[in-house]
Amino acid sequence: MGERREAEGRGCAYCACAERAAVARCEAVRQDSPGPGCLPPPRCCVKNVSPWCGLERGKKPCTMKTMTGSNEFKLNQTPDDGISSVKFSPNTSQFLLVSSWDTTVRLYDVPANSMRLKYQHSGAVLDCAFYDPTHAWSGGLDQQLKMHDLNTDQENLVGGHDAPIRCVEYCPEVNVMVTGSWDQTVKLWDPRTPCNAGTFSQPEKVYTLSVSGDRLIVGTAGRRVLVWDLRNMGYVQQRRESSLKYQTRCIRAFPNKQGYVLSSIEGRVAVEYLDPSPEIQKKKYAFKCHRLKENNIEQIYPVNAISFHNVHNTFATGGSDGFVNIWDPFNKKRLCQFHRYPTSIASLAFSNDGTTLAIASSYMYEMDDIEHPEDGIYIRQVTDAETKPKST
Amino acid sequence: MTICQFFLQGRCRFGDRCWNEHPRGGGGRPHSAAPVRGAGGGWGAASQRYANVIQPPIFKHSTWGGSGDGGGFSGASDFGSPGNKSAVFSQNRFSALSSAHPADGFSDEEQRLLDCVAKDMATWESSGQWMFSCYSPEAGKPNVSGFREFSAEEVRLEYYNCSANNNTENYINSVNQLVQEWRNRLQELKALNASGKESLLSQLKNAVTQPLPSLGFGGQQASSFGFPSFPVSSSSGAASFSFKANPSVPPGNAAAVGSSAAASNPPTLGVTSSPSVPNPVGSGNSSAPSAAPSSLNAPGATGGCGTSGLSGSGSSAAANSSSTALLPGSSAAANSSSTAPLPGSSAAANSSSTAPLPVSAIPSAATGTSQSGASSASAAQTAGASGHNVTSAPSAVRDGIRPDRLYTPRSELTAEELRQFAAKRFTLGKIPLKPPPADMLHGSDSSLF
Repeated sequence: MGERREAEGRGCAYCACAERAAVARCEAVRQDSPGPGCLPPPRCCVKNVSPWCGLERGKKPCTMKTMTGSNEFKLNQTPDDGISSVKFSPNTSQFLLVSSWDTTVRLYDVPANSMRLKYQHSGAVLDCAFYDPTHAWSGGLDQQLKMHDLNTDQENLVGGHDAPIRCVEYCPEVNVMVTGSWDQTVKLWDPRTPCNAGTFSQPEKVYTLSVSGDRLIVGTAGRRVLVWDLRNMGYVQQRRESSLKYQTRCIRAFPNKQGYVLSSIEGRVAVEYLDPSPEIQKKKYAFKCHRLKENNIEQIYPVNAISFHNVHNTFATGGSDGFVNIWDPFNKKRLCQFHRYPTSIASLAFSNDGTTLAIASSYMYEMDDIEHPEDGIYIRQVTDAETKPKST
Repeated sequence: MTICQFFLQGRCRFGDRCWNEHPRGGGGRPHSAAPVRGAGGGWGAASQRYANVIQPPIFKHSTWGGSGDGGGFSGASDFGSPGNKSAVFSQNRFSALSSAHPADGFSDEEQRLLDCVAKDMATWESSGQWMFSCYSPEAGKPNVSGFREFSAEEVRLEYYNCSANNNTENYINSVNQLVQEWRNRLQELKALNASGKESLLSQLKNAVTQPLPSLGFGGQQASSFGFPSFPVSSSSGAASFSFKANPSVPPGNAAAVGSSAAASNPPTLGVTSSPSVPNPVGSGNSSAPSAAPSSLNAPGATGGCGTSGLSGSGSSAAANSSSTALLPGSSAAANSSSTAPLPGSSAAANSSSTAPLPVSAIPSAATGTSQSGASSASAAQTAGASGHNVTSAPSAVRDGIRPDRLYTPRSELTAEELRQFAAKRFTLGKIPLKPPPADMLHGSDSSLF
């Protein structure tokens, strides 16, 4: 996991300068003007100084135009280990919930760029979700599902699975929390009591799931996709197979509930529709993305994260190549590609109003333990130009 | 699919991309006047040729934010590997979606699949793609066996566990072992010899199980993944057998001869069962499956395949499996069961046979056929567990029963299992894993629908 000393200590976590006084040494790492592909320096001793303009940081993010643009900044006090999931609060873009492999779940106040709250699990947390703006649910490798009241900082152990919990989602229409786990089950939880409202077997380990209206779309191992009706979990509503050839990485449903987007480890994304009638099914398609050509050989990266813009029904994808693309599924075009982030994109989240995009750039250990750039959460203000379909 | 008139005249301008059928007989007339645009290269808009046909769209390339490479989408479901332009392929890009198409290019179809597999393997190897993934050469085809599937998080979990116990070398060894396995399997698929091809094709087409040869499933449970503390796949191993039999693979394969029902199972079995001994997955692997198919084909596989094909390619997988499972090998009974008490599904079958979809028309079919209140998952479970060739194989191997038996004699069943079989519905959690005795199957099935 790299050589990290205690992040809160006096010494620099990376260059081992003993005291903060050794700012000069850290500054040497920083370049005067960042070029494309420049990485921000370690956040230690230079923390009061903007990594790009060298000016002392005020309370607001540095407003100087930098390579990332003035519309983007990096959150402070990011988790110590990889980030597994980021989620915005359902009614505001002020709060962001972040779950991480360092076993913590953190709540950030985004405009103020500060961490409001942090709570622990006993194992890495793989996913988190908001039930309402004051309650956060999370689950992970410790196989326990916890609900945390963000106002009172009270924790509640709701239940668990027999294997690590991989996904936690909330369905507002049915008012139920859904968790999917590697023990091949999906469990429903009533958030008011809170208690278990049912366990439903899936054919394989659950890798991803998404809620669409009152339907639940589950992506499992073996490239299977199942659509359940949350009001009637007695049987699977649709049993499908991923139209991609390789392992499913992420599934997200369209906000307009017409279908879902599925991504695989092979740099490909498929757009599919839920209506099983043939005319609608004909509209489905797939496309390649997140592939880079290096020395004439195409490197293929998994597409780890998808997030939809609630208003425009466009979606952003993030891959292990470090790029974030925004796609227009109706015109089948790419709207925008952001600059390359230091490392793989682990998770993406649009805020509810679609003005802000949280990008978790966090090495996912695809190539085991190597030296990797620091993980970070970037908050980017997105414009209509970047996310709205072109009406040509 | 309609025959392309222009192709018959030798001047179809869509070439590979054409949505209509290009019969091979009329294709031997290359026409220099007809410009053939490559499948992926069409950045210009394709003009509509036929009023009633929607061609796969070609999209304008649009860039933003300074990065310029390949942002456009390639049209339609992108199953073909890039550069799939050679003219020998059948025109049916969407053969999986089209109706029961008599496979006139039978060997062409196979050849195409094999080529596709080889190409995909080459790309997989060179591209640095995640190696622990299942693979299927085409939509609607089951997963190819021999590939173990893990997500990145699971591997990372293993790493963390091992480093917590300070045995990272163990982790590294296991990972290397798995990588080696993967590589072997990949090499094998890349350069298939004749028997390899046979087995692969039979895997993809027939409803046959693929019990991984030497290892058995006992090995699976003992040390799955080769990791000392890997809870997940061992539990999934046991559970997976009955689930694997769940023929959730949409039976929409026109080309596949009723492969749908059990086709998903054999390869996925391969996925989870672990060769804890890293066998050189060479001829041993390929010969065993090819031997297995022949033995399993005899008893009921054809019957099973036939019935599943008959009971409607589009109807729910549960319906398929349940009808086949309860009446394995007795095609007459299967026919009657599939047609008579399933009013919804026959209609569904008809409609879906004309345009079978990857999505099985579950709502109508499931409501029509869900014989038990239990979810179709469990119905499929029971189907898989009770009579299907596929599960019978692995569970058979596990329980020491000969794999090619369709029915278990009463003497071998426990009282509980007999009670389950005799009951109107299976109880979740008590579903027997062995096939039912033959005498319990006939004559009482009407009550089950």
